[in-house]
Amino acid sequence: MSSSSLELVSLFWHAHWIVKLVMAGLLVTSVWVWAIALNKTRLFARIRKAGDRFEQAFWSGEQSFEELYKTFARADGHSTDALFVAAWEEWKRSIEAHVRSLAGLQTRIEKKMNVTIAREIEHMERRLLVLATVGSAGPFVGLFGTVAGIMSSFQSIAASQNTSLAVVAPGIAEALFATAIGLVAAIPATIFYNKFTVEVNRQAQRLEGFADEFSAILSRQIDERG
Amino acid sequence: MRSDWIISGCGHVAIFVAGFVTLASSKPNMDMSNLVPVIIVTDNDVSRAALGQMNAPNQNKPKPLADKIDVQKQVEQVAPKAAPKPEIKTDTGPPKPQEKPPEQKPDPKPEPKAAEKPDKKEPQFKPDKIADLLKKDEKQKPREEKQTQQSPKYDASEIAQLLDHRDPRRELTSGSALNQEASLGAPNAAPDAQLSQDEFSAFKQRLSACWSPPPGVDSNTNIYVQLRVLFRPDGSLAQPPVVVAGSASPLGPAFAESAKRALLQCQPFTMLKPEHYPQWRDVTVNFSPREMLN
Repeated sequence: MSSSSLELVSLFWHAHWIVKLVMAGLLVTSVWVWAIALNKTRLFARIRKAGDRFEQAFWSGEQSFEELYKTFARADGHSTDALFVAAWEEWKRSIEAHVRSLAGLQTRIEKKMNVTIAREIEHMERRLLVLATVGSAGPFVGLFGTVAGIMSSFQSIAASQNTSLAVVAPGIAEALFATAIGLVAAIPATIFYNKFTVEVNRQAQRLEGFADEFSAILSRQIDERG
Repeated sequence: MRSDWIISGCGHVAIFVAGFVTLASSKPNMDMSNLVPVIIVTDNDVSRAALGQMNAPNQNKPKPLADKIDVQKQVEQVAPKAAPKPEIKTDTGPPKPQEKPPEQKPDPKPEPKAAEKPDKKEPQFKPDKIADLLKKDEKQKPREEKQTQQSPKYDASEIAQLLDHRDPRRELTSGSALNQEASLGAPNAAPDAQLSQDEFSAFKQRLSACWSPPPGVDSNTNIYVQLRVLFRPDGSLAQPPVVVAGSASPLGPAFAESAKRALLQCQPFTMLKPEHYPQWRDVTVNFSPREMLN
C-alpha cells in the first residue's frame, strides 16, 4: 500500500500550486457539503417527528389548548408546535390584558403565525444555498484546476522537449484529479439540494395548512366571545 | 453542526484511505506479456509495400485468366430481371439448333411440294375433288411426320439447357483476387532503404553509444556526414562505409572518420531484423553530433 499511496500523495504535492489550491478547496467543500447534508437530514427528521407528535396531540382533543401550550412551550420545536405556541401566546396575552375589542386579535394572531412560518422556513433553508452553489460551481472549479494543471504540464513538456507518455501522463492525471474532486463534491451537493428543497416545501405547506386551520378555530372562539 | 463536521471529515478521510488502498493494490498490473506492440504504419510504408518484395517467386508465367465467377449474386435487382429473360430465350433459341443440323439435314423439299401442290390445284377448283385432296393430304401427312422426326428436334426444354444460366450481370473478378501472391514489383523501382521506426531508433542508439566525438565536436557543433553502408544479412558490414556527403568544415574529416569507426566497431547490428534485410541492405546513414549526443 505504502509506496503507491505515497506516490499518490506525492503526486498531489508535486502539483502546480493552483491545482493544489483547487483540490484542497474542493476537498473542504466536500466535507462541508456532507456536514450540511447530515445536519439537515437530522433536522428534518426532528421536525417531522415533532410535527407528527404535536398534531396527534392537537387533533385528538384530549388536552385543552392551555395544557397543550404548557406541554409544548418548553420543547423549542420548529414545526406546527412552534406555530401553535406563538399563536396561543398572543391569544393569552390579549385575553389576559382584557383588551376591549377582540376585532384586532384575529389579525394579530395571523400575523404572528405568518412571522413564525417565515422564521421556521428560514431556519430550514439555512445553508441550502451552499449546497446549490457547490452543486453548480463545483465542476467548474474542478475544471479550472484541470485546465491550470494541463497548462503547467504542457509547459513542463515544452521545457523538457520530450513528448513521451511518461512525461505527459502524470501532469494530466493530477490535473484530471481536480475535476474528479469537483464532481465528487458537486454531485452529492446537487442531490441533497433537490431533496432538501422538496422537504422545505413540504414542511412549509404543512405549516400554512395548520395556520389556516388554527386561525379558523380561534376566529370561531373570538366570535363566540364577542 | 460541529458533530456533523466531524462525522463528515472522518468519512472523507476513511473514503480516501480506502481509495488509496484499492488503487495501490490494483496498480501494479504491468505484465509485459500483455503489452501489445504498436507499429506505426505511415503512408510511406504502404506505398513502399507496393514496390514488391525481393524474395517473391519469379512469376513470368501468365496469370490465370480472370474469368467471370458466378458468386456475386447480391446485386440482384428485382425489377429489371423479369423483362430480359424471355428475350434471351427467343434470341439465342434459333441459332442453337443450327449447330447440330449440318449432319442430319432436314429435307426442305417435302414442304415446298406439299405447299405447291394445293397451289396448283386451287385455280381449277372442283368441289368434288376436295375429298380427293383431303385423302392425298392424309397420305402425305405420315410422310411429313416421318421427315420431321428425322430433322433435329426442336425442343424448348433442350434450348433452356443450352442457354447460359449464369447471371448476365455477374461481375468480373480482377486479377488481384485470383493471384494473391506477392509480386516482384516494378523491375526498376528504387529500393528505398528506410527502416522501421523501432529498428532504426535502436540502430541509432547503438551508434550513439559507440560513437566517441573527436576533439572539438560537441552536441552544438553544426556538422553532418552521410555514410553509405552496405550490410550483410547477419548485420555486419559488407564493406567499409563510404562517405556520400558531408558539411564543409575543418572538423569534417575527423568527424567522418569517427563515424566510420563507430560503425565498424559496433558491428554486427543485430537489432536489424533479417526479415527486413532488403530494406537495410544498403543504407545511407545521416550522422550529426546533435542526434548522436542526445
